[in-house]
Amino acid sequence: MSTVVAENEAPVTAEIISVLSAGVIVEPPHDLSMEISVPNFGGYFHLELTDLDDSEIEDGRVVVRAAVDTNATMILTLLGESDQEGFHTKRFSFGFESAEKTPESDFRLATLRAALSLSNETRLVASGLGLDHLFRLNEPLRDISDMLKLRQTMYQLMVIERATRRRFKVPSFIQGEDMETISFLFHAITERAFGWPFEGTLTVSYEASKDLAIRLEQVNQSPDFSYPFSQHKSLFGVEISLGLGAITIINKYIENFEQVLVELRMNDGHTVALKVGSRIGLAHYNMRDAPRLPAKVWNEDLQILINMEGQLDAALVERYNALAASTLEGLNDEERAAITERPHLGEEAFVD
Amino acid sequence: MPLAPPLAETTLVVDTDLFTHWRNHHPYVLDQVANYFRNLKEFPALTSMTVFEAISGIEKELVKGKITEEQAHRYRARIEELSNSMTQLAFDKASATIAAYIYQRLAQSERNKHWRDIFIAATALGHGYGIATTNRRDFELIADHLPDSNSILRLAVWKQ
Repeated sequence: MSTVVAENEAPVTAEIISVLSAGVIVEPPHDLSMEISVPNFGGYFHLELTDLDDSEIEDGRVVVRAAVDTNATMILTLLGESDQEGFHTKRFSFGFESAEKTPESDFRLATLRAALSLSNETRLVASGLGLDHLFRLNEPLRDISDMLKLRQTMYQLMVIERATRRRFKVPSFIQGEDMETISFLFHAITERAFGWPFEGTLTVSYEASKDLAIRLEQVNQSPDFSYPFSQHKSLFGVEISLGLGAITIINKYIENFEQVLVELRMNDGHTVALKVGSRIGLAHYNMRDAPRLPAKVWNEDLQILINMEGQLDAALVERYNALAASTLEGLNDEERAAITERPHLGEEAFVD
Repeated sequence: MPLAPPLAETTLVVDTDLFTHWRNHHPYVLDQVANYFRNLKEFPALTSMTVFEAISGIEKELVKGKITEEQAHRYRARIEELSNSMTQLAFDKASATIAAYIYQRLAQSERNKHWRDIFIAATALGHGYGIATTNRRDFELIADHLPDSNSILRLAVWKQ
């Protein structure tokens, strides 16, 4: 599992549903802001305009930049015609870029972009530019899904940053190994006790003693194996300590158990390695000393964006469900059964 | 114990029966798909075997003259759009190796009945995925014959 961080991607063209104001630019705007409202998510984005490039206005192109935050910018490209009255916007497209990739910036960008993509009808108002349009974006479902995945990853990184008081620079491509680390740290911070895939074996070293052999025989009666340990993780070059915790290997097996007992019974203090694995590839971690997320850690506007998760998820799932249903659209029950019947091979196909 | 439940982070493929139920808008699948997306922020994957089965159904009905070429074109395009919107797992070399191992350890009657699910299971295993199905028993048999290299099949049973 890995994820690509959105970075200065190709712009997305908006399909204009209706023009509420003609959008004539006759001079540099006085009102240096833009408001994008997404009614079906019950919110709006207020962005400050940072730049207006009208050097190509005669060729029918004006580029407006608006700050999503101090790092991230939305680029609104207006395409239209110039005449004596000014510039008339006919079409527009959105692009996004960030100067430095940080979890919060990318979270804000991903949320804005997902909201624009999933809203049935979005209103863009930039009074200073005379713009008031209703529009929708037609992005592929897979791209929106990836955007929400990215949004979740950035949220998890924000949680880790706030809990550990560290800051991360996010690479353009997050490797699968780092994705697993992000997820592990997020679970440790937010849940503390959680299940996690466990492949391979845990090696524990003991000094050979008869008492230990007896204890180990007792321990082996249990289906699981618990062991205290301190956990450290490295993420984007930053070392993070999760403190002392415990791992419980579920449905355990011990490699060469009888041989280990023989070694322990030698009672001579020599080092004996015990290797424990899970038959079902599962361990439970209890990270009781992991860093904690402070209370009321998000400011109000960030909290609003965080709270949009359920609505964004539901809107995308609804689109997928509709697409799945469209694959059998117009068929009656009998026709549906026929077209979805699983293919059969004749008996002779399986003769050795 | 070759069958194990999926973990919170386990990515799953939907088997063909579940995919068909999803296309038929069965409420239990809609709920499970929504839950899955809520947790993982991705949709379940499809194996190339399930895509084959879905398109094969369209071709069968076209050949029989039950649907028109125009309908077939439309349904093919929608299956393509849906499968392109999901992760598609190819039946690659790793999957083929696993499938061959399982296939040759089943009785002929079992192969006859389960050949499609063998390919689905082998593809999921080859790509490190678990399987979401309505029918645990179909995959229990397959899970009893897994190679050491892929000895655990994580199975989520989505019930009607």
